[in-house]
Amino acid sequence: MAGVGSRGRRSTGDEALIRSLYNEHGRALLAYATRLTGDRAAAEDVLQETLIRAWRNPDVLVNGKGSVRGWLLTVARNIVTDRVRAKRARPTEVAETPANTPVARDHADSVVDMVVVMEALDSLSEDHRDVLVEVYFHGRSVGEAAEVLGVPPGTVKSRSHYALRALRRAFGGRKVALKGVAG
Amino acid sequence: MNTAWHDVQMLGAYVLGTLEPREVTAVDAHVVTCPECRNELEELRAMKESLGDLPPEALLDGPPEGSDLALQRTLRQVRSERTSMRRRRGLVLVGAAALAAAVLAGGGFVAGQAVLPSSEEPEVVELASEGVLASEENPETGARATVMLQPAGDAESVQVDSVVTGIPEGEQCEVVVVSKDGSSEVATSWIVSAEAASKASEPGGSVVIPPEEVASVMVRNVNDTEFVTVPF
Repeated sequence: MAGVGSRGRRSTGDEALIRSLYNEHGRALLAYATRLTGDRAAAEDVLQETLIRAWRNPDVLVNGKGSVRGWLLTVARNIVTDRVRAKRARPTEVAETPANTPVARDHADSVVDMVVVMEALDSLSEDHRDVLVEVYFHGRSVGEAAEVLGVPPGTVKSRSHYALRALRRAFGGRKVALKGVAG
Repeated sequence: MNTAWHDVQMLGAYVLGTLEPREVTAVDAHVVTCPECRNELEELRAMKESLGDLPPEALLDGPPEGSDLALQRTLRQVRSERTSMRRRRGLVLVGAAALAAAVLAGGGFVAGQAVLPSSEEPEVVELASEGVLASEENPETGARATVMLQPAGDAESVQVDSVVTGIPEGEQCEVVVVSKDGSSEVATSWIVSAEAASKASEPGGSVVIPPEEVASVMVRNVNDTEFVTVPF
């Protein structure tokens, strides 16, 4: 029967989508959510909810890997923020005053940040990206980075310079789709 | 001006903090006198700041370590949400005219995304507007009914809309709502016209039975001959 056949195809596509997101981004999302929540089980819930939102907003997934990653991370952070806020809003808690009102962070702003930065990083050459990852994100010294990357220390320095400049170029006039993030 | 040192390549490393102390001193001394390098430095600093918007975890690749329980749970959720999404598409069929079109298209699956239950797949479709839709065919009589139930007014009543096919001209029929406690109420009655016999009747009415108490909706004639019963 035609209906059953098409339903079967759709189901395979949905599951393949979830699996590929999980395999590509699951580690980053779970590690990030675990740090934010301090709780692996809660982080797995956040991961699940994040993947579901991506599945409901398939149009954000046609972008490059970097911006997809940025979108997913932002969604994960918003979910954590919203849960914290919901907890605080319970009636047993003290009444909200200007002093203890949870900071209402502007989701849209932070989305632009993570998506744009991820996208720009992703557009760098592998050499440039590797240097930034080692030096900036892993906080390695020039000597350590040189050893990890197998290049002379002078190359680490010059590449870190050109990597930052390439990043700046990549930032220029970027427009970002924000759909579905606050979902 | 310390032009001898003018090596812009050092500025990125300076901003990222990868220079030796003596190199840092040299850059510090140089930028005081070189506006070009000062500008460059400012821009590179701003660039580094924006890297700070990214959590370090952002650069991890691959699936999570450990069990894939989260994946399995996500897949389960997708499967169940997909089913309810498919059901919500039944909302497209609100209104008797749309019901009629669906039934006349041959029952079961119709064009587009609207999916009606076929007789092989008995199913009650939940509509987003608090209604339910179900369809049933009686192979013995050839009659088929698609019935939509919606809560009426105080939710103590139910509004019944239906599309009925396969009943001969001239039959005097009733739509009867049977409740779970066995009692029944007639929602409406009509006489099948020649046109309705060749196409479809669209009887509708309401009865004082709470929607959740409805067990089935029966189409029968006034001589108690049952044509078709749609279970809910």
